Amino acid sequence: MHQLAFLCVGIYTVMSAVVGVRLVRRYFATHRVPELLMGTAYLAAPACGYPLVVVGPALPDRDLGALFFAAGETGIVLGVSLFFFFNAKVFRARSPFAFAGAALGSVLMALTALEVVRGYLALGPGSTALASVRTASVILLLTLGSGYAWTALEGARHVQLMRKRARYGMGDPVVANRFLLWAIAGSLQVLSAIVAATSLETGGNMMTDAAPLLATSLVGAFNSALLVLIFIPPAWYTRWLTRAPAGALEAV
Amino acid sequence: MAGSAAFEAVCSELAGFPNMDRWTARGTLQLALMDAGLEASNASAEQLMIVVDRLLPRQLQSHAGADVNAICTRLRDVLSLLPASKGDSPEAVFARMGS
Repeated sequence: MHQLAFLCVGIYTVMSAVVGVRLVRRYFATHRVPELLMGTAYLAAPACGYPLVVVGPALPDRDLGALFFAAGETGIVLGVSLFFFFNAKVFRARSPFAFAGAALGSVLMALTALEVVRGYLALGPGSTALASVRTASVILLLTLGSGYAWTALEGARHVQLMRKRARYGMGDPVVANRFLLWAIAGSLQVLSAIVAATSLETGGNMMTDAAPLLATSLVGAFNSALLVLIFIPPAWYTRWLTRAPAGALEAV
Repeated sequence: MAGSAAFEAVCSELAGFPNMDRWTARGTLQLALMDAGLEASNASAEQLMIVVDRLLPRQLQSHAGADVNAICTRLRDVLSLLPASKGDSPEAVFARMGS
């Protein structure tokens, strides 16, 4: 089970790094803020944060493990905060409430991650035995989940809008499909966060228990495939989506 | 909430016709946009041109005395003078992401 989990996290890490680097490089060519937000988000959270948080506690050197863990938590907070701001900037650019929500989510994640790291520095991997660390971890996971839920809802909403546009000859089926995959990826991350938070809340260990391990691993592996289809779509996939432009949007 | 430059331009023009005021014009155009799956905040001139051609006439018919053809012709003229949209709509961002 652990080997499968490491393999899935590894695949997700590599794919996120590839996507993150591509988007950041594109930012330097175009100076478009959404590319920078999304690229840095993928580099910070799935490419660095998640693997460091998994690897840190497994290291024999406790100091090095703590350093990896703290760096990983920082990456997760930074990455998910950037996902929040990506949503605000791209989907709600004219809403001050969206930016306030993104800021609130980011602050909440930073504060709870601080408590989680503080507990880890004091007690090591067993720190979730502390009620304060457990509560902070649950809040952190739920805030993280709410960021991905926002992502999923915006994606789903835009799938509906694109379907309506298709009736009048507007909208690209490839972009509509990208919104759909984006919504699915966000929903799976929410599911993973809920399973992990439930495990913690019921006294389990999300690093060793089967349910959270399986959920995070499978979501990581599945989302790796979605990352490819969203950000680096193979030519055959794009051809398949545009095989009948008039009807393709109805199908997504 | 403010609309895109194209949306605001069409609203201003529409509001100047008989039996129309600012709020009626906005509401009428908003209804047409909703039918088309568009949002006022990022609707482009190209998209609004399609709305004016295919959806707005139906909305305007409910306004007694409105000369639908004259209104739509004038709105098309206004839209044709607008520069191409450079905004970062969600559709534009997601189109770039996978290219």
